[in-house]
Amino acid sequence: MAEDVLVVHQGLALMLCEDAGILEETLQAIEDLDLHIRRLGDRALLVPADELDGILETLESEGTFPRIVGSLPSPEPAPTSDEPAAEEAL
Amino acid sequence: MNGRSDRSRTSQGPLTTDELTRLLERGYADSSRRFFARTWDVDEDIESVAVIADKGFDQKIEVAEMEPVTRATFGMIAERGGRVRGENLRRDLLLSGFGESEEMIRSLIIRGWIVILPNPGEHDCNLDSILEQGTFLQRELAVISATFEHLDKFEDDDALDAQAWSEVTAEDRSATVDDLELNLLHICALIRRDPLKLNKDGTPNRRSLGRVARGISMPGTPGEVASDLDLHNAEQFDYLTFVVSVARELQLLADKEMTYRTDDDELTRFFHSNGAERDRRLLDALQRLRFWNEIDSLRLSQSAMRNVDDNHFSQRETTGQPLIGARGFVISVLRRAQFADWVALDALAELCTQLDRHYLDRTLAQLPRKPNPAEFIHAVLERTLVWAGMLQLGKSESGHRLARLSPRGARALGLDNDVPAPEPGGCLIAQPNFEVMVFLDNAPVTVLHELYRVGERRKLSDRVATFQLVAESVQRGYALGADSDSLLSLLNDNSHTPVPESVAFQLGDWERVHRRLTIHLGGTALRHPEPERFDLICGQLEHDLRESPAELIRLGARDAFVTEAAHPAVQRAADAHPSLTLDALGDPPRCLYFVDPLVLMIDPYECDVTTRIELDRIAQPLPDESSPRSLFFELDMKKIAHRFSDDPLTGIYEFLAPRCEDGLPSAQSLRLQAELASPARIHLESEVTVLTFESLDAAERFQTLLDAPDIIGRRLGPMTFSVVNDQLPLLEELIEELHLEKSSSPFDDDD
Repeated sequence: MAEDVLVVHQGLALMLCEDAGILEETLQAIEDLDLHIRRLGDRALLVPADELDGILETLESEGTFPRIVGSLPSPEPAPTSDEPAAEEAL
Repeated sequence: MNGRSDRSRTSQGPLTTDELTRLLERGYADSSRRFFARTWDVDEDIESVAVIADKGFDQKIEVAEMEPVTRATFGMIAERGGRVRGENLRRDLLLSGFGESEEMIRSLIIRGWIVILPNPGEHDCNLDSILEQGTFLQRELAVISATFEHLDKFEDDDALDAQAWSEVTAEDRSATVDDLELNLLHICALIRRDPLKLNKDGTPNRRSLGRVARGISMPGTPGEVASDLDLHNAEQFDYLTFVVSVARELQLLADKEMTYRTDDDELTRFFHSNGAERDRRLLDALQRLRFWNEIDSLRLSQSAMRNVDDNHFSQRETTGQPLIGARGFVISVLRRAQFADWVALDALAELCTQLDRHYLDRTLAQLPRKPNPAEFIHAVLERTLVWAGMLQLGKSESGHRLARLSPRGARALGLDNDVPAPEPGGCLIAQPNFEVMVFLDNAPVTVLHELYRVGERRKLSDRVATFQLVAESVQRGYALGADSDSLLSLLNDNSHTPVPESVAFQLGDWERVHRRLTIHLGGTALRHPEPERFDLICGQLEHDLRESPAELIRLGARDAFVTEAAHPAVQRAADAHPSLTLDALGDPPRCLYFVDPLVLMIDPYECDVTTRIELDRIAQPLPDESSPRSLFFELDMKKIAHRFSDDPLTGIYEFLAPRCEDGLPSAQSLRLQAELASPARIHLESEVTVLTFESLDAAERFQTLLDAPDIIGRRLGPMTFSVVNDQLPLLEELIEELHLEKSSSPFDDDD
């Protein structure tokens, strides 16, 4: 592993809280869910985007409606039968 | 005369002597000239025949003595300036309630009152042949000029009026497209909060439907059903199924895991499109209804038993799909009929069967229950189109059942775009108690859509809806894309009075609360172990993103987030530095390295979020051995058993294998098996005699010897056997007997 590698991590959503209190409240609200959350400091959480549905459902059931910014990248279309996958073409 | 002004007039007028002369010279066959001479009782030469057009012939039209249908026929021809296409004349007579008129028209042609005209460019138009083949309805028909002048005298009175429904009583309150749209908005708003559950058979779960159907209004009934909602009432349940099915065809509802959920993007797209486009899409959705059908629906309301197969309500059974083509046919007939006013309902149905007698027969005969075409047509007209508000029903003074297109129904058919828009301003009042009263008659649908997004509709009286703005509903609306400034502008622009200060303040405050947690979807997380170098990278990225809607959010010395996935600037940064790309939604990275039995190491910068979190759930960290870039963990069998409680061994294999280069090492696999299941059992044996053949053929023959089962302990490979020690003497005997040659050195691997 090179010492100065830049890690580009796609497919994650960022949950950014106003302050540490909101972050704690948020974590408490979703603690029963089976999630993979990386906490960054007092305000930020990173979570795989495919786990957001459950988080939003839980938050909304508790009356919290976070601001949602942006949209998930659409999945790449599967190759058609006439269009072999890149590995096959090679 | 009813509808007269809406019909297009031909520019050619009645048949004059000049035109008839030309047609007799070049358009008609000689036999047709003889036809006219015989009919009008004149000589056969062109001049004698043609002069009749202006002069008239002996028989006079006595309007007062005519049958009503004949009178109406002349009235319609006169109304069109003396000339009309046969099919259109027949259609209009049908719609006016006169039934099939083909034979009556034929008789007027034979008597010379109506003239069949040659087609443009035709040179041998043979009237006898046309009458014999019955193709005169596909031609232009005209009255001669003398007849037209005679008819013109009656233009100002009612003598030639076709049956006009002047005394029509419309149904008390017809359903309107606006009502259906309000129901769609209402049910989608409630399903947004509480997804509609479907039973195993696809029927809407009654309890769930009861929750989302609160406040619905039944077609033609003012106000909401409210406490009268009874889902054991088949007609109410049927109407709700209809609304849900329409919403699904409009893609306002999406089917997901046995529930219907609101698609807010589609809802916004639909209700923010212009009225003509919405009407067109609505009619298209009605035609494409798959999970509801009008035949069963109408039978349901007509049957005293009210027992219809549950399939009718199922959102899995495509009972409406086979009718899509037939519905399209009925709609196309309505489009061609171009009726602007009341017409007899039976005549409308008859027109559908008359225009193509065989299509519906053929189509409906293919269906399992083979519905009668007339029944189907009436079902489309009286149920689908009436419930949708496209068609209105009424009754004439004489008791005839009548129908007419609503303004939006006509617009949906492309017949008339003159639907008045609601007058701007003044459709609502926002009150200090956070109630918003909306006057539906002049409320733009975009206003209703927004209020359903940010509020809860509490009440619907005849033409007034009351919405309540509460913290939860408004914040939900904000989460769906609304914001306080736009909402306040919308309320002020459409309100009779300015929005109270307290309401304006609270809307802003709720937005502040809503913004306390922001979720950025689809961005890119960046990490770098060297803060100083990362500062430089971030600085460059901020510069590259300055004219882009994306922004870079610093999350610490070593972390940042770019609010857009796969932005070119991020790709440039990755290309410019040693980099590693991970994807939380793709295959996990191979970031686990086993260093000892059940002990593994990771570089936290190589590790994705899921792997790193899961390690804490299945292993104990070894802090004494670890450094910032090398974290060591020892797999913990208790934790593993807890994490993968159903099948710990399979669970841990499936977690570890894709995260290790070349899969899970065999040694670790065996050790895990020993720890989590039972150890692999082995048996050690010493002083074993091994017999190896040089060729496979010889080994095969040896195995089939009569004595072989006594000698061979186990076949170890294709050409190798272990020998039972007690049987060595027997083996020696065989070696000698079979002349097997012993080799002093082992052969190559027999694989």
